[in-house]
This record gives sequence, structure tokens and C-alpha cells, in this order.
Amino acid sequence: MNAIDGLLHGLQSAITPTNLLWLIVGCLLGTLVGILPGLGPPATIAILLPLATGFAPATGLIMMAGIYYGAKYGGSTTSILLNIPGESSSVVTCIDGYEMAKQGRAGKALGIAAIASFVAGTIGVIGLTFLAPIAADVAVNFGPPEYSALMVFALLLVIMLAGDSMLKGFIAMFIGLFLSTIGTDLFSGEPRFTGDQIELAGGIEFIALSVGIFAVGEVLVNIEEKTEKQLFKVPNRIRDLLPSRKDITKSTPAMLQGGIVGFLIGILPGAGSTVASFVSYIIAKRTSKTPEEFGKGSIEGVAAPEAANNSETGGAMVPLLTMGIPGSGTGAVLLGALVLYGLNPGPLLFHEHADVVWPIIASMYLGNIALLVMNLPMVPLFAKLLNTPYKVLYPAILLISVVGVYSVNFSIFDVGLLVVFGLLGYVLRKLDIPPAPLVLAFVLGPIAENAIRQSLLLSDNSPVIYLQRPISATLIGLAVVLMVVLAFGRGRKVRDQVVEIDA
Amino acid sequence: MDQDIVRRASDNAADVARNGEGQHPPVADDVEPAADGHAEQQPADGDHKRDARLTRRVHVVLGVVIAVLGAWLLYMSRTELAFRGPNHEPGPGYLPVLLTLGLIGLGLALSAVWLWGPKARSGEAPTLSLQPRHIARALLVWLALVVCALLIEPLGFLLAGEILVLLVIVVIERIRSIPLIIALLLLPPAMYFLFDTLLEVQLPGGTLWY
Repeated sequence: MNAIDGLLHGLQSAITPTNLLWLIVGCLLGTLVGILPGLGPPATIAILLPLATGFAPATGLIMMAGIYYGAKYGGSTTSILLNIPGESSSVVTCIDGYEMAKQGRAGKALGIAAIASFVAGTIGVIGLTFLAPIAADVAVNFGPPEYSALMVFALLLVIMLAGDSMLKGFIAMFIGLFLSTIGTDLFSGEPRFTGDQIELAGGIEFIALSVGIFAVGEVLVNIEEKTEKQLFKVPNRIRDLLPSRKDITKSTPAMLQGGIVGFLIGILPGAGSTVASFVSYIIAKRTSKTPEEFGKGSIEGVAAPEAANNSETGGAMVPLLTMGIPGSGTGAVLLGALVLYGLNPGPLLFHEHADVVWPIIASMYLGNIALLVMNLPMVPLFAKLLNTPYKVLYPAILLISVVGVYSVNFSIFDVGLLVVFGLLGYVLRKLDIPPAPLVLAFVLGPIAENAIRQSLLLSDNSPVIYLQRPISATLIGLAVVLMVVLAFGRGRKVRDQVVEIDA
Repeated sequence: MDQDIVRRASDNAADVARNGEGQHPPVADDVEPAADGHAEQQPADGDHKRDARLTRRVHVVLGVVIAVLGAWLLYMSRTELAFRGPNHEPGPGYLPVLLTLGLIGLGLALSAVWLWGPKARSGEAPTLSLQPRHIARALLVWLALVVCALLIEPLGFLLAGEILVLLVIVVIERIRSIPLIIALLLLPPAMYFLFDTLLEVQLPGGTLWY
């Protein structure tokens, strides 16, 4: 069965009234649960898995696609409205999405997030349909040296989120990397900086760190001054709550770029949507006609990471379906669901279970459509949430943060971490140290460390291994070029500022 | 990303000149709310000089603190963790040592830049907003969160949540509006119902009662 025949067959099986109903229900449930911090797509699917597995495989998997896309969009909603990243891949969306909300453009940000998710999700699924076999071959060639080089490159990109002070960006990144080393060392089994706390054996919980630094830190900054007014303006007219034609046109290159980058990075197991979202953000900033707006509420700054975040799903399905390798937490839960249905993902899945695989892919197309149809009309409703007086909103944010963090591991210790990282987030803001490099370095740190140590084990401690393999050599070359560009670009920017001040 | 800084007074004046009349210069994020679009009065030159001095001192001290913290973590990494494994491969202390060395260097560089850097010395660098009144209010909210976190285990989520809300109503915001008070008091039970009852995410019930 070729790709087009398979897809048509899949669509035929997927488009039934029952399947469509459960797809919409899944999308709605996914959005509602995904909107709660701490409950990202993996947790949302896991919570709703018993519901979905009660159906026939095709119906259950279609519902799960709806839950997944809904949960992804729910995560974006909290990032934009409340600066609470539901998962690591939403961190980048906070940067410009929350700034837009502060400027009274939350509806436009939410709208463009839904449209970008639809466009890029479709790119990702088209990529999955036609490029899966080729892409799988490339992914197989990605060993530890290639991952190390990719992570070094990605960490250098993190610095581009540093704002005006590269020095402070590096400090934030190093703190994030150091925090990621806390926990049991996977190679030797030795505990590192755990202070004999059993709760830290698995490392610091990401949700506690990110929700603390972003959400609690932001609340503490916002309540510094007592005010009776609402924190953000929300336009009254529905037309002003949704993105205009001009906004969509401006964001189109970012959406397309994000869609392609997200798919390509999604193919690499472990790289995940976090890397995809911020690599795409950096590319969008570099290629934008208005790069100065990034970080200050750029609509492209929301479109690019949201696009990458969603098309990564299509990419992540390549190693999952063709090799049985889950590239992310969500992939692992989906793998579990496939196994529950008696399907064993691997090279033979497309041949042996074409009757189920193609409906899964078709359901991803349908999930994207359902996401747009369901969520775009809900944008004004979500945006109006910001009309709530801040003195009511901030205790709610604090309580939701506590519940969200607790619900990940049912751990009071994690709530303690949330409190500590909340204070850290506040201190970082007061000292003008950018929090995004810290949080992203925390996510990338373990992947980078494992890949570097595996590479050095393979090469008998010789770093030459990175130059002996074409992909890693290319990535290292790109990292060197990026370093030069960063240094030169910063120097030029400083010079420009000096000229401007003198003028 | 939210940066809590105040730009130089001369920068703001230049912005007004560039933007033309009727447009407000960019304001610092802590000059909230943005809702009404009015900036607070620009700090006078004397205030700016004082802020610049304070900002410089804070950064120099911050750099030293980061370097000292890095040195302490380096000591721990070197004494508690093996830098190399049995076959001379990178050990568990490999990355921590490199990172802490980096932190020491970056901390010292930060201090040096703010001690001897031309922008810092001339007061041209953006100043930090470190008003004690603002910081005290933020810390009060943070302390309320600490109390809530400490009480969750013995009292359960519902009561700990109500205590947080009461601290907000009575101590921090001194709210008198009955509808707002009711809305706030209903928050913890609403969340309990959503998570514990509907989503079956078991929230702490309180070790004192169970």
C-alpha cells in the first residue's frame, strides 16, 4: 500500500460519526485538562488513557489524537495568559505570548497559536505520511556524538534568548546546567548534590522549577505595587480579540519555517519539542523584518515556537512508528497505548497493521482540524479570563501552581521546590537575569551530558570523534560559526547603541 | 521575558523625542499597571545617580556571590564526586567541575564589568528597580505561599488553601468587597472539586485528620 492509498484508506476508516464525536470530545477534554499547569500532553493522555482504551483501536487512537492536540493547545493557553508553561516546550511561547497578553493582545496570541498549530501540525503530518521511511534512515545514523554536537549547538542558541547582557545569559545557562546535574548519575549510580534527600534522587522536578521560576516569580513581580485595577487590558470587541489578516500574513513565514524545523527536529528521538520550539524561535528572530519586536510581544515569536511544537508531533511519530522509539514523554504514553491495543511498533508495523497505522495518521490530520474548529471560537473566552481583578487572579495562580506541581509526583517536597524556585524566579527578575536560558539549559543539560559522556566512552576519551563523523562535524562547525556570529553580532549591536547614544 | 529594569532618564527623554508628541516612552515593567498607559513620573537625576550607584554595587556583590557559590560547589564536586571513572572516562564530577569553574569565571567577570566597565562607571547602564517597599510586599506574598506549603501536609489542601486565601484577604490586600472575598474563599474548594473529584488527582487530605 503506497502512502496516498494508505492515507485515503485511513481517512475512510477514521471519518465516521462516532469517531468524529470522540475526536471532538477528546480535543475538548485535552484542552480543559491541558490548561492546568503541570498537566502537559503526556500527563493529560495518561489521565484520559483509560477512557480512550475503552473503545476499538481506531476510535481510541483517534480520541487520543484529539486529547493530544487539545492538551498541547491548553499548555499554550496558560503560557500566554498566565506565564505558566505547562511543559518545557511551552517555555519559549511564554516569552512573547505573555508580553502580548500584557499589552492587551492575548486573544491575538491565542488565535495565532491555534492557526500556527494547525498549519504546522498539517506540515508535520504530511511529512510523516511521505517522508517517514527516508527520515527514519537519517535518524538511525544519529549516535551520541551527533547528539552531543546538536546539544552544544542548541545550548549556544539558548544564549540568544539572553536579552541585552550575554554575561547574565551565560550565568543563567550555567546555573540551569548545574541544577540539571542534581540527582543520581546515570552512569555510575552515584548521587550528586542530593543532600541525602531521597526525593532528589531522580533530580529536580521540571514542573516545580519552571512553574516556580515563571509563574510564581511573575506573580511576585506583578504584586509589588498594590493596585485596584486589572493587570492587563482586554479589548471588548471580538474582532480585536482575534488575529487580523495582517497578523496572519506577517506570521506565515514563521509558521512555515516552524513547521519544517519542528518536523525535522522531532524525528530525532530525545531532541523533542523543546529544542524544536526554541530553534524555530531563534530562526524566526534572525529572519524577521522586525527582530527588535522579539521578546517584547512579537506575534511571530508566538507563531514560530507554536508551529514547531505541533509539527514536532508528526516528526516524533517517525521513530515511534518505524522503530518503536518514543522520542518524548508523550511518545512513551502513546507507545504504551499501542501496546495495550496489541500493536508492536517497529519496521513491520506499516506492513502488518496497515489497517490501524493509517487511521492513526489520518486521525492526526483530523485532530488538527478539530483543534482549529474547537479552539478558535474559544479564544475570546480564554482572553476574557484576564478581565478578572488581579487580586483574585494571583491567589488562583498560586493555588493552581501548587496543585499542578503536586499532581505530577504527589510530592509535598516538589511543592517546597516550587516555593524555593518561585523566590529564585523573583530574584532573577529583580537582578535582570533572564530566566529562559536557565530553564532551557535545565532541560537540555541531562541530554547533553549523557551524549557527551557516551561519546567520550566510545572514543576512549578522544574529542576527535566529533570531527570524524560528518553530521557531528557539521554541527560543531555550525556551533563555531554561531559563536563567531554571536560575538560579532553583539559587538555590532553595542557599537550601534553607542552611535545612537552619541547622536 | 520580563526584565525588571529601569532605563536611564536620558534614554526616556530621547524616546519621547523620537516618538513624537502624544506617545509615551517605554516604561519599566514594574511600573504597572500597563492598563491605563500612564507612566509614573520619571526619576530625577539625583535619584538616577543613587539608583545607578546601588545597581553597580548590587552587581559587584552579585558577581562575588556567584563566584563564591561556584567555588563552594567546585569544592564539593572535587571532594565528593569522582572527576574520572575507573577507565579514565568522564566521571560523575566531570560536568559539575567544568560548570562550577565556569560559574566562578562568570561571577568574577560580572563584578569586573560593573567595577571597571565604562558604561557602569559613567552610570549609563540600565538601573535595577530595588525599592524596599515593593520587595517587602512581594516577600509577604511569598511568605504566605511558604505558610501554605508548610501546612498542606498536616492540614490538607483545602485548609492550607483557605489559609493562603485568608492571608491574601486580611493581611496582604485587605479586601473589603464581599463578592471578591466570596470568590476567593471558593477558590480552594473549586480546585479540590476539579482535581480531586472530577480528575481523580488525589490531593493531600491532611495527616492530622487521617
